[in-house]
Amino acid sequence: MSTYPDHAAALTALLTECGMPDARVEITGAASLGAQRITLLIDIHDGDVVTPAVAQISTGVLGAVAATDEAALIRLAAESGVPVPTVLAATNHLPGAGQPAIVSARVDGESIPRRILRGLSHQSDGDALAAECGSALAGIHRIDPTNAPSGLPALDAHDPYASWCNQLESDLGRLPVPHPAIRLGLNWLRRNKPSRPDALTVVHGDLRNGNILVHRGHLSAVLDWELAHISDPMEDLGYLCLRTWRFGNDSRVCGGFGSLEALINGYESAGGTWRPDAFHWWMTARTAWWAVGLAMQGAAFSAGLTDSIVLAASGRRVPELEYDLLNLIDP
Amino acid sequence: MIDPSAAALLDAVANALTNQVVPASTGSAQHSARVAANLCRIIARELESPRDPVATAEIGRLLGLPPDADPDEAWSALDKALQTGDAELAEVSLPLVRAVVEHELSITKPTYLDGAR
Repeated sequence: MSTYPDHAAALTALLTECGMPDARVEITGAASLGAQRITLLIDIHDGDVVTPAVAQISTGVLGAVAATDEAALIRLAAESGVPVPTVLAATNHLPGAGQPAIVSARVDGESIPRRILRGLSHQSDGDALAAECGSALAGIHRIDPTNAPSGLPALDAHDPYASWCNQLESDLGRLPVPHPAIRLGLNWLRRNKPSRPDALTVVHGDLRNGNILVHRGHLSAVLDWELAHISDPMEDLGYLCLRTWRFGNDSRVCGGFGSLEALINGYESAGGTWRPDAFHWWMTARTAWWAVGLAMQGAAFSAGLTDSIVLAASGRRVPELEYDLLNLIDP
Repeated sequence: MIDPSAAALLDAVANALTNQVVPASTGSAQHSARVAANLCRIIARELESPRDPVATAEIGRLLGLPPDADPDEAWSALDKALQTGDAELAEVSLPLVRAVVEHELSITKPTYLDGAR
């Protein structure tokens, strides 16, 4: 693909820096051109050996974990039994281009949510996948936080819920138009803090249908670790179950494919501790968070920071999340 | 009055995008065309019924604003009043906020209102 010649040269230089001096990168396709990241399919030619790989190059303006920290965390997750792609190289400044980038070995599997849902023909298949997601999350939450990269953002251990609400309120205050529905959600969150976990843990922060690879009905990799942080482990469980990530398959609470019971069983069987009050709190909290996130994307368009029609349209998706939010605080 | 109406033209644009441009394109261009078609349909619905007049008027009344207050002003005033964390205001305003959000959703994605909670 000749559209990205600069990226090919930059990625080749990155591999040279990372100990593969004879490697040459050929870009074979673009897997996705997201708001935050470009994901390119690449072949790494090294002598006679061709290794299919994936290069993710950050383009976003939102704050995220540094690519080298993300790579270190993915390696820790692998040691903890979480299915992840093998990281081949990572940098916070791609040679020449300057963006953060991660190169990983390619893993077989489907990541497009509706195709994942179509590929699961029986409810039991979806439940098995939900259990595997639960097990993977328990593996992430088992990572010793003291080993985690020091650059990971962390909630205040003394009052994680208040610190989370303060951040949301600050983001909400920066939006150009008022959102009373999100404000009602924030007030509810402040008044209904859940039980505390035994300890804050590493959380993935963005594990949902869309950030997983599914191969023949099974979880083959957990992707996109750039929102990882230190938090209440139930944050990940609540987020995975947001209605917005069910892609219309609303009765299957876990990602549109699995039951809540299957997710709980998978999580607890792998050593996780399920806390129902915290699950509901985090579903509410992350619904409010994504309402703000979509509104920020729309605002970036209105402010002239992007001309993307997709980001412009995000602004018109906010009522979906606000509606979900009101249903969570006022069932 | 001009014929065809703005809403009818937006529907025509949406149909042209969906039936002609989407099948003839791929990748991000195809995705953008789908999004553009959807936005045309949203704007067509918005032109017919931009806001919920009843809920907006009630929010103004709840906050003691004059009956002819601008709806955007009432919405901003409610947002500001909720920042105090007033639990009683949250309770009485919630059904009104819900009515406004449901009206917005009937414009942006009407099928979402029928789904499971």
